[in-house]
Amino acid sequence: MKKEAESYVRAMSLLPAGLQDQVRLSEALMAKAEEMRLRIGRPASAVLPDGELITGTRPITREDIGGVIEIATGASAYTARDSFKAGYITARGGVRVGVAGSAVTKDGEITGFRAVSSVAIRVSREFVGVADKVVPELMPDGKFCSTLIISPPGGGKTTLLRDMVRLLSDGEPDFGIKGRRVSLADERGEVAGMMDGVPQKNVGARTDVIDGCSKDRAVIMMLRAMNPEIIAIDEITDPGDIAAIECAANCGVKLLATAHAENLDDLKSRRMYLRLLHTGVFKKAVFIEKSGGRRTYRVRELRGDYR
Amino acid sequence: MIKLVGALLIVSGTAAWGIGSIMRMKTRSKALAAIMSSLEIMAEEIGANLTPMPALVEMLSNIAPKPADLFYRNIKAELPKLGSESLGSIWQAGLDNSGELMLERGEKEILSELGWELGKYDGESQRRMIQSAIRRLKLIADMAESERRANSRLHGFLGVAAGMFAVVVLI
Repeated sequence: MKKEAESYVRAMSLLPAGLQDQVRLSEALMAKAEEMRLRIGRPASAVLPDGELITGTRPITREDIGGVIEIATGASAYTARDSFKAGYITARGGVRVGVAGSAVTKDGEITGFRAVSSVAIRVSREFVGVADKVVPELMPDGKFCSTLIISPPGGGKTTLLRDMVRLLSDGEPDFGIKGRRVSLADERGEVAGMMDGVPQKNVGARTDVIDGCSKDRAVIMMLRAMNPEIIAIDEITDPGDIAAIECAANCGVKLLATAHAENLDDLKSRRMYLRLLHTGVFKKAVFIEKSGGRRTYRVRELRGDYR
Repeated sequence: MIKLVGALLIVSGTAAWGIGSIMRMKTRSKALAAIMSSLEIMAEEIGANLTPMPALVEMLSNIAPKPADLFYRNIKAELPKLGSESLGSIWQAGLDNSGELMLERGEKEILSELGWELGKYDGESQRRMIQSAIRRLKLIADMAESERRANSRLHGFLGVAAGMFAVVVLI
């Protein structure tokens, strides 16, 4: 079985035994599938690069959804209270399970879900080596330049970020890269796949991870406590993240982060990202482009792009 | 001589029945107290430390008072089946296989209901749910204890008296 299909099978193990047949696909489709979707009263489906495919033959029940949450949390939903508030659970192996349903709010903030009606199980794939050709381009004189990874959703930003973190952390003498201390702010737990404090994914020997905590707080904590050479952040989504990034850059730390955008113009069209570019923290950008089912990585300078 | 031995055997047999009945009542009271005590630990661990259920079951299989520890050992042995079976059904099987707890229908129902809800909500709701089960079990335990106090002498007396009566009738 292809390695890509194995990731899908691994994600399937989060489903109760009686539900696994409802999301089964051919090996070729399993290798491409990005998510499994379960919605109460509807048949199960799988998200493929060209759309959502109905795979189930019967409607999903409340018990099915309850079973998924029970397996994902190890029958301990209370341990995932904080991530529940953010709308997801990180299960073993770093698989992210997004949840939606009737939210409970207190003082205008979501405190949990009274009833979960939908779950999205993300198929997490780890491709060791994808960063091998990219990282040397980001270190022209042997020093790492702060870099922004840019692609549309599902483009493979997290996969590339994870492998760049691994490579920068472990080092690679063949490429003239020495290992560096990397701190990873992994709010959603998707990069390192932390389980009981242990990364389930290969993020390198010199990497310290904070997960389950907002990125801005994690960055400041790591600056104070871990003396990082590089700070890696998955998905800049909040003005607070940008403030923390500026703070880290002012302390002489290099940054590696991802952002959702089709291209540079799309990025600049959004006020928050424009502000990020204005800070001048990021010197280089890696654009992930998909063509013919293959991903290509294009590195370019960012200087002057914000004007 | 044979009559004397026979009489002794009859009296001993019926007295043993009486003593057995007293012991059963005592063991049941002790088992209920042990279960309540283990649930107290569970409520505290979930409410204060959000201890995950597998770690909690492991902990209780080691530190819960006897005979409740056996119940948690039964659950621990079946916990790897989580996924093909729900925690509720694993808990239920643990109850069904824990004859040493001498649970009767009322307390089995309370514990069974609790098992189907464990691990599903936030820590505070879980703590309240467990405390509610403890309160309901306490009522049963108090009744069992009153019954034991009221009836243990009676059962002992009846056991010996029944034996003596049988001896008188037979001899």
